[in-house]
Amino acid sequence: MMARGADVIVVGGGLHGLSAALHLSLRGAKVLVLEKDYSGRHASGVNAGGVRRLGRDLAEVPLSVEAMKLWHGIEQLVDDDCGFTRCGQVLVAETEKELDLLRTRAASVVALGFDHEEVIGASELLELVPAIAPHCKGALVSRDDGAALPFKTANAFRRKAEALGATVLTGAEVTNVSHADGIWQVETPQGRMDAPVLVNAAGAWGGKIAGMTGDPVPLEAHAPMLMITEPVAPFLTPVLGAAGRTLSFKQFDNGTLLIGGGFKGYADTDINRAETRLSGLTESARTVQALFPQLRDVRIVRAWAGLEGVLPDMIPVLGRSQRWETAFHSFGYSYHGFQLSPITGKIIADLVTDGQSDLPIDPFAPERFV
Amino acid sequence: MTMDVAIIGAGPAGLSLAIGLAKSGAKVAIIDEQPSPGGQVYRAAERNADATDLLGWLGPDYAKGAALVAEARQTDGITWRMASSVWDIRPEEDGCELGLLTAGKTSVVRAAHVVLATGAMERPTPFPGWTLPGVMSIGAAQTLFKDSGLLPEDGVVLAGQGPLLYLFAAQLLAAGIKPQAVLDFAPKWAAPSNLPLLARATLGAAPQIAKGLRLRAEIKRAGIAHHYRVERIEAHGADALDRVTFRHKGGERHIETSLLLVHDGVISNTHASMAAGCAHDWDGEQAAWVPRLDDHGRTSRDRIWVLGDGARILGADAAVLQGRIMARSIARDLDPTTPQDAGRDQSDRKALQRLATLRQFLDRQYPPVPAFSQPPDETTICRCEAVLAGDIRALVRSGCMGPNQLRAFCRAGMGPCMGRQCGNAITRIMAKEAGREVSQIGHFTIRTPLKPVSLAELANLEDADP
Ligand SMILES: Cc1cc2nc3c(=O)[nH]c(=O)nc-3n(C[C@H](O)[C@H](O)[C@H](O)COP(=O)(O)OP(=O)(O)OC[C@H]3O[C@@H](n4cnc5c(N)ncnc54)[C@H](O)[C@@H]3O)c2cc1C
Ligand SMILES: Cc1cc2nc3c(=O)[nH]c(=O)nc-3n(C[C@H](O)[C@H](O)[C@H](O)COP(=O)(O)OP(=O)(O)OC[C@H]3O[C@@H](n4cnc5c(N)ncnc54)[C@H](O)[C@@H]3O)c2cc1C
Repeated sequence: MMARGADVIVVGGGLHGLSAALHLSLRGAKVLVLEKDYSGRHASGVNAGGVRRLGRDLAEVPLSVEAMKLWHGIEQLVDDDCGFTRCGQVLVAETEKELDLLRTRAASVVALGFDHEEVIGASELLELVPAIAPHCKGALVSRDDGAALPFKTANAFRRKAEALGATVLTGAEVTNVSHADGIWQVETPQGRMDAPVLVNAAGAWGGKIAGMTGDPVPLEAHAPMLMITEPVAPFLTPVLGAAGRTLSFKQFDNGTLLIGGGFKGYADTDINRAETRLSGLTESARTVQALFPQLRDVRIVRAWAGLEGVLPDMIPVLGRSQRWETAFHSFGYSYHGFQLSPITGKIIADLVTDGQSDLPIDPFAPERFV
Repeated sequence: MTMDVAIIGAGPAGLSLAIGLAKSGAKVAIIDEQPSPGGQVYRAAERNADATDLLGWLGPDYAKGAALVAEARQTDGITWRMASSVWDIRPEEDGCELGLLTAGKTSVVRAAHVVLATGAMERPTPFPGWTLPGVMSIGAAQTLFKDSGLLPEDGVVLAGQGPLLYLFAAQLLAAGIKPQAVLDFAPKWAAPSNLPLLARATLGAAPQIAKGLRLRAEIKRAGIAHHYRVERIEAHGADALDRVTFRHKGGERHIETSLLLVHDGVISNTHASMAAGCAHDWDGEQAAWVPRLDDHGRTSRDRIWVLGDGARILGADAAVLQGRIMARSIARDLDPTTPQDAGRDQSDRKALQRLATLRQFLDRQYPPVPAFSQPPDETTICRCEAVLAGDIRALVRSGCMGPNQLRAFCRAGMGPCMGRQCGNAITRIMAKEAGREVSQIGHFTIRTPLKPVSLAELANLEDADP
């Protein structure tokens, strides 16, 4: 059988793979995305939808700011509003000490030349979130941050990439990649696919593919958990986190509450399974109860976990292979890759077509682990 | 590890298993969300043990339940956790962790083996008007009857198909309630092609066949209009039901009524086995998903077992037999030196085979109502999120290939019932519209919690071993 060909093969049809495909297609490249399940089946379709610059690792801030500009005009990029709302993100301080830490944090973001994070006191917090428990001292806020609908977003990116000429093959698990005569040979159950350029956007499985391109990284698969409640009367506009706890909390238009916050379930990438863990769900419930005691009788109707690739320093691998000029990586977004997805594809496209990116991506190089 | 075995469900299957296991010396806990043991069929058997009227109305098979419950209660070594719903099942390396909710408090039970004896549920019956107040399932009405002695009034209309339709009509008559009509979608007599099976079923299970005929004779003797081969029903009314229209012998007819009770057979309640991540297959004969099991009732997941109607609909008597058989299998898993009792095992399995033949006949004689499987576009399918049959079909036409994708597109199955009620209907509608096998369409992924728990209940979780 003749191998199918393309200019670029992208492994992984999650948001980062689709974003790469979209931006590469915009530049006229013929892109083939290989996805073992379907687009949005994993982290990209089941995450909390938080579109947040707030509180990010400082190395990510410049990228996150650029991504935010794309989110604010997301419809221009993908012809779909992705359910994005500019509802703001708020990180609550429950003690004076936490509030001080947030002040220091805000100052370090300003020092980088950005002004999206600001500290507010207790009274202004009450205006923003009237239902918050009275002991809260203040918060770090980023008013133009927001939230979007993950599955809708993943679908929109896929459709737009396809409209621009990219092909997304589902049920196409990449079992091996090898390099011969300047061509990447990619094995799948649907046959061998060939291309001169390879992009690894395999999410929690990214470490496996990186191993095949000679870029070993210590990627771990985690299973962050989320819970959703029955609908309650609207009381919360921004997405809420807490400085001293792991929490991500928001209310949808239909009144249901989404409760997340980094508690881990069980992950097994070999069998595509992410499972919830009771102790973590309990912790999340306790956190919400502490901040919103009035919600005690609200019922949880669904809980789930998704598979996420996590690196020891909690920032992704994004950049060129240390071994091959023609292999690129974009994976391991460590619990917060949804917001970054519109920009990472552009960075990959810049690297592939121009050999470099304007954005500071050195901290994300795969060789940082050697 | 606290328990050797935790059984979810104290119906005939769970009770019989608990008795067998406790006698073999295993440490066994039995958990049920009902306040007392008995399951669906023997619901509230203890409390009703002295209610002579009610016992008379419900019939001798119900009375049998009290004996089974009493035997279990008298067996030493069973830990009872009644009025406790299992809302989380978590397979662990060395067994399983169950999340329980008891009177507003959550707790954890750990066991080396978990057995799901969660029984049956009624097949959903979507048809135009079925969400009107005044339309209810026969199972729900029967539950009210068993639990609180609540009875419908004269003039109630019964519709659908299956043994429970006849049983409930006869139970109502015994209690002095006269239904206005029975709208039966099944034919009166078995098709010629089904007669050999009927003969075999009668050989092995004559009393059950005779019981069915007797129930129908009682309906006839009471002078109830019993229409066979009904093709379609619709419920009408502005805010509540006032009229039922139906198609019978090629003509449209109607009945005035304020209460319509509907039933389309029962299917395995696979919610727990799906949430536990066990593999399931589509059972064409029963038109339902069933867990994939080996000869002993082991699922695809280590140390999780299923028996009774939750494994496949076979009825209460079969559930008791399965409980005995499984007790022997698990006892040997716990302690491989347990002597084998091949003789009993064989005779129990033979008796089970006879009941399976009876069930095969019943499955063919009472297939699901086609009008409920493929209702018109304007029919509500997912009641929680108000999704219509037409919405689902349109999404299938636009490329949506399975229930889980459908969920993301239109929220069907995302409400508080989590698709428990509509899952079977959605899968069948999608398969038909896509022109594919149901097995290719798949089922909703079922997530924890199995029953909604409040934030406070979850926050109060104690790591309480019984
Ligand atoms: C529960 C949860 C909540 C989250 N909340 C937020 C949030 O609020 N905000 C935020 O910014 N981020 C959040 N995240 C993180 C965010 O979802 C992820 O960082 C992001 O979606 C990762 O996208 P991806 O494309 O790298 O990975 P994925 O979406 O996992 O895509 C990778 C794809 O590659 C495919 N693949 C893997 N191996 C192969 C192979 N060999 N061959 C073919 N295909 C393959 C997989 O099937 C998968 O579809 C959350 C994550 C989870 C799990
Ligand atoms: C509505 C209805 C009415 C029926 N009426 C009759 C009848 O009158 N006569 C007859 O012969 N057959 C009847 N059947 C069929 C009958 O259910 C079975 O043949 C028989 O009861 C099966 O026994 P079982 O032990 O497998 O399950 P069941 O008797 O159904 O017992 C299952 C038990 O599991 C419990 N359970 C389920 N999930 C959980 C959970 N998550 N947490 C805690 N507990 C849980 C339930 O409360 C229930 O008590 C009925 C079925 C239904 C659905």
